[in-house]
Amino acid sequence: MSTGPTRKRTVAGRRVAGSSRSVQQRRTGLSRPDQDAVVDDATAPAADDADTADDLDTADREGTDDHAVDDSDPIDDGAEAEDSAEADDEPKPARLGGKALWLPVAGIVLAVVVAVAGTVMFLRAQDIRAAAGSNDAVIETGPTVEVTTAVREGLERIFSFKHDNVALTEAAAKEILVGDAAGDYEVLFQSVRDLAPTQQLTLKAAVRVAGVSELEGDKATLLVYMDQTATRAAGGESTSSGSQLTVEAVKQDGTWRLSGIQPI
Amino acid sequence: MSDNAEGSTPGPRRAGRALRATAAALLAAAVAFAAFSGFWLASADSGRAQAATARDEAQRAADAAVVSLQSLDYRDVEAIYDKWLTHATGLLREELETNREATIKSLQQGGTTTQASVADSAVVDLDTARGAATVIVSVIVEVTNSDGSQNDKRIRYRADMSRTDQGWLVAGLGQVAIEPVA
Repeated sequence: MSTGPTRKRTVAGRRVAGSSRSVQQRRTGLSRPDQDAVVDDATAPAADDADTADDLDTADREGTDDHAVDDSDPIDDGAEAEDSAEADDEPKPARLGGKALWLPVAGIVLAVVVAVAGTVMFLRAQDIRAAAGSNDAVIETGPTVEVTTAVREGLERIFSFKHDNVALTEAAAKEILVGDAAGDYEVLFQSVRDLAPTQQLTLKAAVRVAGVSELEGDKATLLVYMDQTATRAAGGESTSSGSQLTVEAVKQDGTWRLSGIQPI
Repeated sequence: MSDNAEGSTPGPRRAGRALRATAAALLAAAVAFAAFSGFWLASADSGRAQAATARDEAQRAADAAVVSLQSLDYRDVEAIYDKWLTHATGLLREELETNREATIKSLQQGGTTTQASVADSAVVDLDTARGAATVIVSVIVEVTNSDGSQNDKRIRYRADMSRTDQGWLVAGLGQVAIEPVA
């Protein structure tokens, strides 16, 4: 903020400039008596220029102080220039249309310009953010690889099976599956478990391709192409089958677990 | 003093003050908003936005292309073949153009109608700089044979997508075959 003296000078300068204009307006028939004093000091600077008015101001103000009683008032309470300029000359209605208006009007115009610029930037930012979205799949390589690897390994463990080591697969299922996936897995694996002892089945699973379609924080959805080869100990004949699975994964305590397995 | 002044000329002066206060408040609010917008824009990740857009477009294009390429009506093969071509680029397009007559003829004689739908799909690889993506598309194809019998086929497709002036197009389409697990 400006210092006291500077402020005063500015105030006076504005007042002078303003007065000269308001004179004409006042002539149209507003309060006369008090006007004389103002007109006196205002006559000299028809120039609007505050700089040129500076010198005059000082003298002007001193002079004015004698005449106009309420002159000091605007300077005192005039935190802003127009205020004092306005207060200085009593007939306000005339003043409102005068030069004193330019600062607030300029301020509002500037505010509008700045607001428009702000709006443009804001909308652009919103566009970019909307396009960027919250889905990290593929575009955030680290987390994408992490969840893909975890899902691949998890599926291969729970869909691989040795008739003579059922416990291994069951332990893996217990570790990897949470929520609905446990039920999904039971449905998918029940027939294998039933056949296993009699046929001495061995199952091997391999994920061929896995793609992450959704990845948001600690939740992910993947599409997985998986192959399975079943081998019967008796006879050694094997059959292979392929599947397509929509897999839901959740990260719990830093580890990705499978929360849903839906065959297509 | 100010009481005195206000007392003598309350209305206009108050109005002037209110106008200035309003202007100052508006300006302050505008500057604050613009500053926030600037920060919001500067911190928006346009690289990520481009990558995300490319990923989603490639996936959508792959879905649409596979549905188109797996949907067929033997009574309208010519038109359908032309539609297939609009999804294809590179090697796939060359292949389709080269085999046009023979393929159309055999499809017309086959008497088969198919309707494909995408069950699920996901982008496996994305190279935004090169404009290339690999998308896997799990498709269910309802087949109506010439004898009227129907059956569903579930097919594991892998589509190699290429970004062109016409958007993302299929440069290669193949099934991920079932192989014995060693």
